[in-house]
Amino acid sequence: MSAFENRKEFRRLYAEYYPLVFSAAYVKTGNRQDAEDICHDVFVRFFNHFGEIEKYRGWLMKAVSFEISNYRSRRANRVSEFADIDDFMNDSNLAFVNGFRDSRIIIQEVLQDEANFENEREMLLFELIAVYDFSYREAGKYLDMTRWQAEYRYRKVSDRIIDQLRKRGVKGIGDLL
Amino acid sequence: MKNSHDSIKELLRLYRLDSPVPAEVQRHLSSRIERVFAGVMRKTGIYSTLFALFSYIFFLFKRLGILFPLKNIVILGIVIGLTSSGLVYLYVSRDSVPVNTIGPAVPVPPDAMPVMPQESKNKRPAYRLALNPLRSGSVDNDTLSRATMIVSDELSRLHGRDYWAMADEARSAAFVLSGYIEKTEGGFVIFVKVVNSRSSAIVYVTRDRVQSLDEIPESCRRISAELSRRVR
Repeated sequence: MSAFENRKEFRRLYAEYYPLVFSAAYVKTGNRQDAEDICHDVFVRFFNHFGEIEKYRGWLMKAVSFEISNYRSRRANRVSEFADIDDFMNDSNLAFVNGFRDSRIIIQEVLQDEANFENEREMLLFELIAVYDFSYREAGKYLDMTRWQAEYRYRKVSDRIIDQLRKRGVKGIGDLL
Repeated sequence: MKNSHDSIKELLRLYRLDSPVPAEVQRHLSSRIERVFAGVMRKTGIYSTLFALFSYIFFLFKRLGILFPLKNIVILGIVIGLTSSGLVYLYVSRDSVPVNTIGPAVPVPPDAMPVMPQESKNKRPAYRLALNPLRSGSVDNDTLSRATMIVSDELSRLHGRDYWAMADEARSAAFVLSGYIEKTEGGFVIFVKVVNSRSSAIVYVTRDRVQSLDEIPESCRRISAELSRRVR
């Protein structure tokens, strides 16, 4: 691949994955500027390695976690605050799912099962809409899809996930709700 | 009843597996995506003005939700540009063609005389030689006219009728002939001269002596033949 093609491919991947990386960083830091700084560092690292990477999403999410750790270390005075927030979230999750922990684990496993997605773009689309609350239009914009294409894809994935939950013994979504 | 889409979202919310990003933060993300990219390009050393320009257009299209690749947009732009230029050219050309605004055409009888264009009507052959009538101070006009006619007839016979014309009809001829016949004590002298009309150079000159009026025609034929060989 020529240097120019390399740069074009990097730009395409950047445009697709930036919303995911930013959102992941933002929900951890709660600050737009900090999330941007983390994105910057993650994508610089991504550029230097993206020829060797097979699964972009997995690599980027690990890089985000790593950069957030670095970020916390740099802002040592805020480490305890972050730790508290994370602990609080984990505790509240555990507290909330009291008795439902197995269900939560099943859902997480199904959502992370790549077999439920045709490709990484579909997984990305699902995450932006279901997890980070992007609209169809907004999510489709980053993935070169129209609003209708994004909705169609999302519904297909939703159906597959529900099927998978049924296979895992969940008779209906109503059971979980 | 909720559809599967809403159910999944509600499920994630209930089990705290969602992390909603507020709408204003999403707008901020969208507006800053290009600047962060420029920062990454600078940091990685791939920044160039041209690439930055293409990237600006790339992210602009993303923001506007234009899904066509940049290459297709450029091709489409060229096609539209060429088509509109062609249409404009055709429109302008149509306006420049004279249009009959006088009225409907008048039917012309099939046997009507064709009207010759003025230019072709006035067109004349390019004569080579302008012939001035021979002059004299001592010979009568009939003799001069007869001698001039003999010269012109001889030139027509040798070169054709388009070779010469009288001087007042052939002002643009390349050569001009003039001459005279004078009576002397022992007979007559016939003098003929041809000059180049542009340079005024004498290209042919001769003088012939005859003893009687009856010999003038023969002398004129001889001079014409010689002149024809020299002036073509």
